[in-house]
Parts: sequence; structure tokens; C-alpha cells
Amino acid sequence: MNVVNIVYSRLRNIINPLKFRSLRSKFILSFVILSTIPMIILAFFSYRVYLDILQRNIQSYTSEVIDRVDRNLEIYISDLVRILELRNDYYNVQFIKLSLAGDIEGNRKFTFRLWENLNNIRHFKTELRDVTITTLGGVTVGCYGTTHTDLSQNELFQTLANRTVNEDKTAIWGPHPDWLGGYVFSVGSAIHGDYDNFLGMMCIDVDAELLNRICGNIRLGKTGYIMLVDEDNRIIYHPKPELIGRSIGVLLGESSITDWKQGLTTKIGPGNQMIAIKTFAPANWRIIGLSNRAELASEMHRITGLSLTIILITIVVLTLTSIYFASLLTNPLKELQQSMGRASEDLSTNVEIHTTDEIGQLGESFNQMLARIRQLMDQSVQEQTKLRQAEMTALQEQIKPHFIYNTLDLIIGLLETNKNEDVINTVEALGKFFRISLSQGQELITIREETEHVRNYLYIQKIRHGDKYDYSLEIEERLLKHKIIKLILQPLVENAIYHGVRELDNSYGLITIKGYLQEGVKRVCFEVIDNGVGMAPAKMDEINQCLREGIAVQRYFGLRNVNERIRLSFGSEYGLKLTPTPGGGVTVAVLLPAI
Amino acid sequence: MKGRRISLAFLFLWMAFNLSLFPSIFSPNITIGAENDSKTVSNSFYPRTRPITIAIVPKSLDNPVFVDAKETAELAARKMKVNLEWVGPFKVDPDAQVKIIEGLIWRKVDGIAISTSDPDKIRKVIDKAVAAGIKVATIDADCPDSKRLFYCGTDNYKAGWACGEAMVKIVNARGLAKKSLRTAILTGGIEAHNLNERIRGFKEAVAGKINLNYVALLACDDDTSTGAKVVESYIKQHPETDVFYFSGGWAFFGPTESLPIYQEWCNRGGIAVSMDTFHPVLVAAKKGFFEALVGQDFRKMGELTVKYLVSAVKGRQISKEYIDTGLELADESNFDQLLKEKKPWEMK
Repeated sequence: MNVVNIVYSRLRNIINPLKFRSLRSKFILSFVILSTIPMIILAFFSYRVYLDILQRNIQSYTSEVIDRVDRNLEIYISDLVRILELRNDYYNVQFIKLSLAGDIEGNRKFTFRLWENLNNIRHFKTELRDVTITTLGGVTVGCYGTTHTDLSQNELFQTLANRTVNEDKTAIWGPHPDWLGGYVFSVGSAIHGDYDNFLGMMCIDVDAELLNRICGNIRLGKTGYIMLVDEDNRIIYHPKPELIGRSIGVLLGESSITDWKQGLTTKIGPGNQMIAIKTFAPANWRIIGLSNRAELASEMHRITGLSLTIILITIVVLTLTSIYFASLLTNPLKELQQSMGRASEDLSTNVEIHTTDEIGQLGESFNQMLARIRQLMDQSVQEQTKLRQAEMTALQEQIKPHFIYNTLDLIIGLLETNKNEDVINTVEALGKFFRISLSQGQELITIREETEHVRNYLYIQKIRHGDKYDYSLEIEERLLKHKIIKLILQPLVENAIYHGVRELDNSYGLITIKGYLQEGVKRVCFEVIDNGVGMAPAKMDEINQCLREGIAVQRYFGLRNVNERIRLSFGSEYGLKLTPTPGGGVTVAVLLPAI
Repeated sequence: MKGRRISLAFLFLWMAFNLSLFPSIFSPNITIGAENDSKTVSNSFYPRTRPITIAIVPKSLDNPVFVDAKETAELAARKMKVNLEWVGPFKVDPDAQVKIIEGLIWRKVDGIAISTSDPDKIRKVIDKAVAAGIKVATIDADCPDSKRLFYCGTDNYKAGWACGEAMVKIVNARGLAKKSLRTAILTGGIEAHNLNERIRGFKEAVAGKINLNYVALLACDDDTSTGAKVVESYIKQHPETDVFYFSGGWAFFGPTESLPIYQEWCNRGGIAVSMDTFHPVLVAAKKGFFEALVGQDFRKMGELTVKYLVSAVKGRQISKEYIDTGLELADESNFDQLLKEKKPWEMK
């Protein structure tokens, strides 16, 4: 994990200064990196695998080539061995016997015959230079007549003569010059007499050019080749004729010739050469394949160059492609960004998106959002307008002239009866009443002020109406600091007075105003309870339906106005509800949010 | 300044002396596939203490006329305690003969006797052998203008002359001396000097005495079957031929049954004279294939060649350049006698 963190931090250090801050740059960089890294990893592993395969293929090919050379030589030698089966032919044996016996006259027939036979054999294969029979006495009859051989200098003869009758009857003498100016290798078989006594040998001289024909056309790579070495580590075939006859140590170093095995051996020699060696068992020659590992390297360099070129081209193509795709993606985003910028200043504009993808859908949603905002704004403006109208109406309702006239008449009456104390209180109550009604134009006032407002109103009305009813305010203390839309309670109290308790004939009216917090502290509830004449259930249902559904009717104006203002301000879940007061009268419940 | 020049001169001489002592510095130890005389591989055929070795190079090995010569040569060699080699191309091939002689030069044999198949090609290699210190002679077929020591064989001109004389005798006996006779000649190799000498001798012998019109010169390269085919084919195409002269008896070394058209021609009165008196030729003559024969003595040729060549190798002076092995004349009067004396070849 540490390593990953270190790599990550270093990458960040490298990338951060480049300040790829735009989405487009990040996208291009990510695309190029994500595409290039797998390619480089693939190229690296492909290189290793290809190198390994190439090396194995070269080894396999070299082995195969050496095996083929081995097989070709073996096939050729086996053909010669088959020809040498003719060595015990009657004429051959007779020639040897008569020659050893010194019977010149008797041998002339066989000599002539042998010349003809051996020449015929020579034409079996184009590479055969001479086919001879050599007697123990050193007389050799061959395709070019009869000669004398110094047996002590003839390696093949010595080899065969020193073998027992049970040993391999065939031997090979490595490349050596023949007396006709050619360069041959010889394959010979011993000829034994009736008592398994060694009489001589039959020998086939093969033009050493054959080795060139078998090995010369083989190329291991551009400069690799096959060469042959005899059992004395002397080069008997090499593509460069000047090296034939020299020790293999000159080419490969003395140490390289010490640990050759019978089977195929592969090793690395001087000059970074790959050496594959196999022993050609019949002659104990070594077939050596030399290939240059530097060629492998050059081949790999070529492949590496090609791979790098492909990678570079791919990176360029990927970069261009990623730029193209990034443009496809980011151009709509840019347009969207610009459109949003314009929209922040002018909500009437729309985003123009020409794509149907996610960005197009985002633009569409943005346009819908703008439309919704415009709609809400219009709605808000309308509601504000309505609210102002409702407030104005409420104010107008409160500053009804007859309320003022009545109150002023009341004050005059009090003055006439010298009830100065009451006058002072009434005037003070009226002043507070109007001051709270106006509230310096504020929509919201504290419940304390609202309570004070309705208390002033009730005080004035109580003075006016005498002892016909009484009132009480039961507002929870903790409620007083919360806020409320102004002028909510007064119309309700007014209704309770004029349509409830004032109509009572025989009993004493009571108006109770309760205020408390509901559902924890989330909602505020007021109840204006009167014990007045009440109303018919049908009418109460009708009023409740009007209030619930916000139906605009001319009747019940006071209740509707209050209800409308509450719903415009806080939503339709708030408002008024009328219920019959147990024992008679009406209870109006006001539900408000606690703010 | 003068002293410095002298020093340089001495230095140069010292270097030249060293180089002459160690020539191998400038030549590889082993050179394969280069010129023959550049080989330094030890000669595997002859040790230094080898006996005198004489090589006889016939025109070809497949020509049985040399069998008698080979036999007597070998007998003579054994008697003189020298090695005799009999080497040559299997069939007449002047180039191969040159190559073989060059091989003998490389092997440093002591003496070579050559039956020259083409003097123009052989002459150079004879001179090369002589230059290498080898005693060179010619046998059977000479190579004039070469540096060979002597020639041992038939006087081919005389042999041809003898054939011509025999022909004159026969033509006159038939009363055809005035008649123009269509004459064909069969020879071995067109370039062979000995055969050309025979033809020359023949023509000069008959010239002015009878009227031979030479219409064809046929060649068979000393090959028996080729000779028979050529003769049969020619007679078939030219049955009007009057006279046939054979400068050698190759066409008749095989069975006579292979020459039915020729035999029919003979029966119709065709006149034929041939060189060689070998057993198969005499057998053919007995069947009426020839009117007269002139033979060579190959046994003597082989024996004398070895004797004179060994003498030359041993440093003795060879007094004569031409060693004549004589002629053998045969006609109907002595065919039977000669047949008794000659040995059949029995080669096949």
C-alpha cells in the first residue's frame, strides 16, 4: 500500500503543476493514460514473449537443420554402404586373389571387368569420384585403371585392416586430396576371404563438394551457417574454403571443443554466437550450427522500433480522438454553463441544447426548472398581491367608521358621566389598538402583541356593551415570544361578540381565547370560544367547507379573510375551523406554524 | 647518407635470405581446392623409398586392344622389379587424359607412357611432366612435337600404307582399277595422330593406282558398339558404297551377328580392308568381313615401352626416338593360322 501511495503522490506531484483543471483536459489525460498504459504493458510483455519465442524458434530451427544435415549425410552414407555390399562380388574377390598370387595373365579378364563395373558404380551418384578395390598387396583397381597404393599412408585401409571380422566392416576417412587433384572423403568396407582373412577393401571416394551441397545452402539467419568438424577437431567443411583443414579452436576457442556430447548440444560461444552441435555417428564428425545472436538483437530492435512507432502513432491518434470526444462532451456542457450564466441574470432565457444525451436531458431539466421558477415567481407575486389586498381589507375592516364613531360616542358618554378613568383607559386602549393594527407596516408581530391587540379591542367592546358578557385570555406564556400574522384574532373575537354572546337574551356571555403549542412546539393553536347563540350545524359545515376549499363567497367575509391570509402565508394545512362549543356557542380554532 | 643506404641494402638482403629459408610464411600449410601443385598434404600413394613406378596411360580403359600390351608390360615390370600402373579414362576423353597425367605428375611417378588421344591437348601436359623430371614416352599413338623421350608402337603411316597396298591388290584382282569406287573410312578419334597417319598412309598408297572416291570419314571414338552402329547405319543409308577402309578394328571387337547389313554388303561384293589382327577381328574376317588385315603387335608394344622407359628412368640414354613394333599382314591365306596363334579376349 505504501508503494501505491508513494506512486500516487508522485504522480500527483507530476500532474498537479500541469494544472489540468478543465474537465476537457482531465478527460483527455485520463483517456490517453488509460489507453496508453495497457498498450505499453502489452508491448513490454509481447516483447518478452516474442523474444523468448524467437530464441526458441531459432534453436528449434537450428536443431532441425542440423538433424536434416545429419539425416542427409546418414542417408548418403547408407547408400554408399549398400553399394559397398558389392565388395564380395565374385570378380572382386577373384581379382584380389589372383593379384595376391601374382597371376598377371589370369587377372587380365577380371581387371578389365572391374574397370567396367567400378565405372558403372561410379555413375550411380554424381558426387562419386572413384570406386576402388585395394588388395592387401597394395594394388588398387579403380575407375581410372590400376595403381599402387602405399598402404601405410592410407588411413582407411589401416582402420579396416586393424578391425576384427566381427567389428563394423565400414569406415569413413575424412576429407583428403585424391591424386586427380580433387578433394574427397572415402567410405570403405573390408573384404574378407574364405577364412575371414582380410584381403583388402572396397572404397568409394566421394567429392567433398557433396558436403558443400548438403551444408552450403543452409543459412541460419543472415550470417549463420553449418560447418563440419572431424574427430580430430579439424574443420572439414566450412562456407569459407580457406578455413577447411584448420582447427575448430581457431574459430570457437579451445574451451568450446572440450565438452561436446554425442547428442545435440546448444551453448553460447565467443562473439555471442549460438552454437548447436550434433555428432554424426558413422564418421564421428560434428555438425556445428553457428548463428549470430546479434541478429536476434537486431531483429528485436526492429520489432521494438516498430512497436514504439505504433505506440506513438496510437497515442497521437488516441489524443486526437480523445480531444474530439472531449469536445463532443464538453461543448454542450460549455453551452449549458454559458446558458446557466445567462439564466442567473435573466430567468426568461432558455438553454439551447442540441443533443439528446444526459447533457441534453440536463439542459431540458434546467429549462423545466427555469420554467418552474418563473411560474413560482409569478405565483408568489400574485400571492403577495392577494395578501396585501387581504391585509388592506382587514385594516379597512378594523378601521370601520362606525367602530370609531361608536367608540368616540362611548368616550363622549363616559365624559358626560364623568367617568374619566374609563375615558382614559378607553382612549389608551383605542390608541394601542390602532398602533398594533398598523405595526409600522410589518406583516408579522409577536403573539404577545396580537394578544394585547385583541385585549384592547375586547376592553373597548366591553365598555360599550356593559355587563352582557365577559372575556378571558388563556395564552401560554411560552407562546408569547412566537410570531403570528397580525390581526388574526380580532375579527374572530368580533364575530364571537356580534354573532354569539351579544345575541344572548337570558344568560351571561363569555368569550374565552386560548392559546397553546401543539405537537411539541411545531404548531400554535388558538381557540376563540364563545357561549353565544351558536349556529346551525349546516351553516357551520358550509362555513368550514368554504374555509377548507378557499371558495370565494361574499358571505363570512371576516372568517374567509383571516383564513385566506393564514393559508397564503403558511400553506393550506393551516387555517381556521369552526366547531360547536359544548353547551352552546361556537369555537373557532386557529392553527398556525410555530415561528 | 651513403652508410645508411648500405645498411638498408644489407637489411633488405637479410630479409630476402630469411624469406627464401621460410617460404611457408607466405603460403598456407593446407590449401584445398587450389592448384594441384600447391598441395602440401603428404603423398599417400608413394613413400620415399618406393620402387620405380612407371605409368602407362592408354587412350581409354574400355578398349580391349590394350589388354595384350598391359599384360606384357606388367610381366616386364615384374621382371624389372618396378611398379607398373595402368591408368586412363574409361572412355576416350582427351581432357580426362590430361587430368590423369597431371595427377601422375603430382604423384611424381618416375615414368609415363601415353597413348595420345589428342596431340594438341596432350602436348602441354607431356612437356609439363618432362619439366617435372618425369621420363615421358608415347605408346601406340604418338604426340609429335612434344618433349616425349620416344615413341614405341606401330609405324602408323606404314601400317596405313600396307593397308593401301592390300587394297590396290584386291581392287586390281577384281578388275576395278579404272572404276571410281565410292569409299568410306571409319576411324577412332578424328584428332588421333596415329589413326590419321594410317589414313594418310592408306591414301598415299592407293593414289594413282586405283580410283577411290572418298565420300565419308566416320568416327567411333575407339568404341566397339559405336563402331558397329556407325558402320551398320552408314551401309544402310549408302548401300552403293564400294569400299570400306577401317583404320582400326573397333567395330568388329564384338559379335559379328550385330552387323547383318554390313555382312550382306560384303556378300554383295563390298571390299573392306582393316587394321588390327586381334582374335575377334580375325573371326570376322573368316566370315568374309574383310579382304585383308594389317595388325599391330601390342604385346611387343607393352614390353618394349616398359623396358625402354625403365632404362630411361635409370638414367640410360635411349638411342632412338622411335621404337617400331612391326606389322602383321593377314589375308585369306593366313587367317586360320593367325586365329590359332591369337588368344580370345574373353572380357565379357
